[in-house]
Amino acid sequence: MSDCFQRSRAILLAIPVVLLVVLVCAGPVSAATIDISVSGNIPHMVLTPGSSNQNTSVHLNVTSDTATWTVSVKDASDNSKPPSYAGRMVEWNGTSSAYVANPAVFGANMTVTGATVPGSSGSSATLSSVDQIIETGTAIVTSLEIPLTFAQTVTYTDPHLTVPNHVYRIVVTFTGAAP
Amino acid sequence: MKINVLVIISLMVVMSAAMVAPVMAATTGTSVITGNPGALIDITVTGSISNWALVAGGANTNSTAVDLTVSSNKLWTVAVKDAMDDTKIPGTQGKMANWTGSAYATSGNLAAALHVTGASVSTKTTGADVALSGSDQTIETGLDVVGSEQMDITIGQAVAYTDPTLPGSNVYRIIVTFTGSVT
Repeated sequence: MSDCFQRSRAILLAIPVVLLVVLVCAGPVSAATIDISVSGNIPHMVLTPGSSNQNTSVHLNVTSDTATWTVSVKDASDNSKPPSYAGRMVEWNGTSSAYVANPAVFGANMTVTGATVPGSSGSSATLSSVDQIIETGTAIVTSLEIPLTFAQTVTYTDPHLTVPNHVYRIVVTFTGAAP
Repeated sequence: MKINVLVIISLMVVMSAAMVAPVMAATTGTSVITGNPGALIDITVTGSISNWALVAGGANTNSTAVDLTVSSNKLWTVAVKDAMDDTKIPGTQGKMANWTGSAYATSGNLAAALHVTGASVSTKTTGADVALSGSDQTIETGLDVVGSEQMDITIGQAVAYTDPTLPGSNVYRIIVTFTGSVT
C-alpha cells in the first residue's frame, strides 16, 4: 500500500516535468503572419455605357512570413448598404454620406482581378458578399506589390445619375489569410 | 499536494494547447470605388427609300423602310432636319429636290415638305410628326433610359399634280438627318 502510494506520487510529480520537457523540446509554435494593404480608392472611375470599364490604378501590397497565403475580396455591405445589392455599385448620396433609399443600382456585379506576379498566382472574382480568393501565395513575400484590375460593365439602362453629389459606390474589402 | 499537482498539470495542458494550436493570421484592407456614367445617347438609323413610287394627288407614306434604334442612359430626344447635304438647292429645306444622279440640279423640288413621324412606344418614348425643315424638330421624346430601343419611322410625302415629273433619270431626293440628345 505504501509502495503503491509512493509510485502514484512519483508518477504525478513526473507528469509536469515530462510536459515541461516536451514543451521545451517542441518549442513555441509561432503564428504565421500576413499583412496586406490596399494602395487607395478610385474616386471617379470612368464608367462608359456599353462597355466593360477597367481601372488599374490600385494595387495590393502583401507581406507574409509563410508561402501559403491568400487574399480574398468581398463586398461587406459597409455603410449600411442593403445586402441584397452586394457586389454591385449602388447610388450614394455624397452630401449625406449615405446610400440612397430606392437607389439606382448597376445591373452587373463588379469584377476584381489580382495579377499573377512572382510569388503569387492571381485570379478573377465576381464580387459578392462572400470572400473569394484573388491571390494565392507561392512564396514568402515582403512588400509584394500586386496590380489589381477593377472591371465594371455599364449598359445604357444603367441610368446616369442627375442629382448633384450622387454617385455609384462600392467598398471592396480585401482579406489576407495565412494558415 | 495532490491538488497542487493536478492544478499544475491542468495549467501545463492549457499552455500546451495554446502553444500548439493552429494560428490563422488575417488582415484586411478596403478600397472605395465611386463613379457616375456620363450622360450618353447612341442612335442608329437604318434603311433608305429608293425609287419611291410617289403618286400625284396622294399622301405617300412609307412606314417600313426606316427604323430608329436608341440607347440612352438619361432622358432623351431625337430630332430631324434637312441639313442640306450634298450642296442641295438653296431654299429647298425640308423638300425633296431635283437630283441628277450625282448632284442636285440648279432648280426643281416638290412643293410640300417631307413629313417624318416617330412611333410611340409605351413607357419608353412618345413619337411626333413633323414637317421637315432646315432646323431640328423633335420626333421622339424619351420617357425612360433605354437600351437598343427600336422605333418605326414613317416617312410621308404629299405630291401634287403641279409637282412636275423630272426629265430623264433625274429623281427627287432628300437626306434626313437624325440627331439624338440627352435632356
